[in-house]
Amino acid sequence: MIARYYIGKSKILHTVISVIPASVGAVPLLYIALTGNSLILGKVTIGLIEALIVEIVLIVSTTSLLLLPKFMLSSDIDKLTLRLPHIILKLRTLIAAGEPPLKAFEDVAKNSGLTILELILKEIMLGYTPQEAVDRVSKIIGKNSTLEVLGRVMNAIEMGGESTASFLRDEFESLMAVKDSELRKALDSLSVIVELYMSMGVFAPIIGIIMLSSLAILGGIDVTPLITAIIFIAIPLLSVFSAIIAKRYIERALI
Amino acid sequence: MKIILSKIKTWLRPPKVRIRRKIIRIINLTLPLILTLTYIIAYHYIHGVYPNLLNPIDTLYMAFVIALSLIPASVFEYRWEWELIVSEYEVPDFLSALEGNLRAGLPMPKAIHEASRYVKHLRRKLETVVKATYIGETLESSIRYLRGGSQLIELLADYLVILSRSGEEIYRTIREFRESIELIVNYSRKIRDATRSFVATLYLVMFVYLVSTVVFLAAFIYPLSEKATPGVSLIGKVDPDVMTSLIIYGAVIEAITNGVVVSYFTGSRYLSSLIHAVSLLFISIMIYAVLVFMRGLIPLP
Repeated sequence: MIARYYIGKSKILHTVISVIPASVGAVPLLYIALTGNSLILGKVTIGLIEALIVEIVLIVSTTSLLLLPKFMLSSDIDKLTLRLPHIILKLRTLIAAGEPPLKAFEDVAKNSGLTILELILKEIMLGYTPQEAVDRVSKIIGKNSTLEVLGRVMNAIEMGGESTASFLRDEFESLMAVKDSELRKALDSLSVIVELYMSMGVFAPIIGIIMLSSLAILGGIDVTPLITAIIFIAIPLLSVFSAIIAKRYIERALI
Repeated sequence: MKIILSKIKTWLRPPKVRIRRKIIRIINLTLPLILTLTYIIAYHYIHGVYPNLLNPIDTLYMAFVIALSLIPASVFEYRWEWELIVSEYEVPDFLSALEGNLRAGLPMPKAIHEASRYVKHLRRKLETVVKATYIGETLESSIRYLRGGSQLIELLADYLVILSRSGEEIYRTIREFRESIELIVNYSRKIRDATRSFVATLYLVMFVYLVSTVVFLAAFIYPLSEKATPGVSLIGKVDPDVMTSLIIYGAVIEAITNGVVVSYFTGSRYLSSLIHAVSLLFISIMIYAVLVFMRGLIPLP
């Protein structure tokens, strides 16, 4: 994994900091579980249920922190995928204007602000050929279709010659054709996306509210905190979660 | 007399103040928080107590304040997105005109100036570029006035820089460049049209939420709470007012998240769908206002 995604650019430091929330939450839980008594902090009394809820929230924070580098990498790959047609077009224009291919790539990579392109450029500066640079980056971040296209582009850049610009034009056109077919596929699954969004964003919270209310009426228990949690936590979370899944369907088609 | 009138006009004319888009966005997005706090303080000043956030009437007022405070953000975001899209659609026309002007032998700044007549939304930026060159700036540096907004506009700016560097002979590449840009623009248009149906889903989703919750409250919770006899509650610990307030908050959250989510899903660069969220919020407020103030109008047993 790329070092810049970790806190303090160190994997060990990142892991240590990530584990802190869950460890802190485990202390009251262990105390209650071992002694069998509630934990009293000033005027606040923490029982087993409260400690468990706090620990669950803190475990979620720890997991999010641990997964943060992967999310950041995924976001960078998404950005590269979105901007690849523009990048190829700019490369082609620069090369057609007479700029040497490698210089053109350097110009594009420096101005793009994309981490993956900067990494490839760094590898080239270290003395690797463009193709080797892409291979090395692929090894770090794993295989990806965007990197495969980039690999072909870098191959053309490495070869140089007059046909580079025309190769890049063909590559651009084939990339747009792929995107077009991806869009058609995504539109075919639009009904699934809509159903998913409706079920998770709306039906699930409504069913939750109605079931809890029925439970309160029949059992005489106070469900207001649970309904509050559904409305203020579950609705935004489920909506965002379903939107992320839905976007995965059409992501490859976006530009 | 004319001089005096023109002087008065000059004094009365408001000064032109340019505020950065980023600052406007920050102000717009913090407005809900500012207005909600103002509402709470004003309520306390008038009534001597803070608003009861679990009372349906206070909740409705709160939702109304939030909806009002989101109007500037939604209008600005929608306008910015629209301007950007229209500017992008104009790029192929501009390139086509530029190619013709360069073939006719015009120098670059003049060619850009003439080509800018064929576009509407890009014109202001292009004219600034040309003006900068007329007062002595190089074309390469004046292109910075064109930058910003979208990848496509950035690409156009980069291309103009290459053109300015490489001399007029490079105009032969314009056609190829324009064709590629056209491909991107047409594709973006296709995506926008295709994902527009998701906005319809947004309305459907909210409609389902509103109808289900109104029916649930009006046909189930309210009648049971009204039939309760002293000492024997038919609805246990469920408080109809608290339940109504929570469901109204749910509608507010649902409307706002749906607006943000649809903007994200449709690949918008700005929160353009917030305008739909605001309209949904007002629809929700109206429906819940009927439920809270005029329950008799709801045709339920």
